Amino acid sequence: MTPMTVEGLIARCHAITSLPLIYQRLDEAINDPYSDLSRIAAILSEDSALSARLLRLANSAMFSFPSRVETVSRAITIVGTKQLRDLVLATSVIELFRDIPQEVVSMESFWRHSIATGICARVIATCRREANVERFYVLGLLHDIGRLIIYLQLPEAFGRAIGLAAEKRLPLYQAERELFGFDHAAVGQELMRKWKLPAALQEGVGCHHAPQLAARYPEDAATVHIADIVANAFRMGSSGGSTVPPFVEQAWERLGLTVDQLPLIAEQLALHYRVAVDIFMEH
Amino acid sequence: MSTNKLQPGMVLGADVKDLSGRLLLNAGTEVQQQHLKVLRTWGVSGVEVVGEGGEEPAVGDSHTVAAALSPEALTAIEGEIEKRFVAVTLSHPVMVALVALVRDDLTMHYFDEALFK
Repeated sequence: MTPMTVEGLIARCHAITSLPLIYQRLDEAINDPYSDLSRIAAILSEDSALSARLLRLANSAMFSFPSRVETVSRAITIVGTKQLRDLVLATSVIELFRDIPQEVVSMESFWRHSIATGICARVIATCRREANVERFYVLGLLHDIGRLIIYLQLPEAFGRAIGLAAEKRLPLYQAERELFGFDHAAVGQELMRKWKLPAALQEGVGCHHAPQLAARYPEDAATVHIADIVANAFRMGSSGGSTVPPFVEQAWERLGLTVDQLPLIAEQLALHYRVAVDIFMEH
Repeated sequence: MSTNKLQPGMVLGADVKDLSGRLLLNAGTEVQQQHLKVLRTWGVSGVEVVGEGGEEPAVGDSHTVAAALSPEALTAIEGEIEKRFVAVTLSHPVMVALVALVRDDLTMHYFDEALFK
């Protein structure tokens, strides 16, 4: 049997070869210099579940807007079109994987961990005064998607990785490398590439356990690295492992945050986590 | 002190900023009802107040709560922390701070559980 490669694994995933149509249409509309707000709002309004979710989001504490947001157009002006695209991406991906039966790991637990990492990354980006914080939410949300691919395509092999990790007291991604020759970060990166998502997202996902290796986007990688650690520390859901992954000190230095900002970050995470789980995971 | 304990009439001992460093309220402001709403909206958890003595932890009163837990609960908490952080070297100050926060979080959970048994 030929050893499985990352590309080979992704090629086997027929159900997720491309991103949902609504995201593609929205992306096209946003990139088109001749399109306007009404066209974007029209695309969104075609999907009532998505519109409802986005309105709930615009009205949540995550955006702290002083008055109620009633329409999709208004939500777009508050959130911004690029940020909106990122949020639609986040919602679409969860939708894509929603109805897959859970066997080895709880899907709900997986998404809770992903949402927690997303929220934490967003909070860190806010502390650092990043211009577009929503893209950090997407980065956090998608960081472990490679693991989802692995246990959907190779459930037995994944079960063995979990066993090896427990037996040798290794972080799960190291057990993956030992057994498969690659880890879930590499799989996630390849999926982002296949979906033609931004390079920053690809590298952020690919390097979230080894942020020191991020050549072009070290801050993105550092942010998701720290966010993943914090989300695991508080055990807000799980993507299969039961331990906090190793901490790369450089990542913290890279972000330029101080230790006394950590309690603030944890508190904001706790504050927004429940709301986000509610909005993104309700059926 | 924790924002939850803030009362109108108290005076702010330091500038209050939001997460990104933007100034919300100036030092010396006498706190009024509408200020409390502002603080809540912007997610400010702790402020400095003139006249309060010493540093109060902004993350709940878990120190007093820990004293109320049984030895078994305290051991279980430490065991859980050891298990979670087994792959992490705990020398860096941010990891030390993170462990402290997780300990607080677990302490509050155990306390809540004990209350509702």
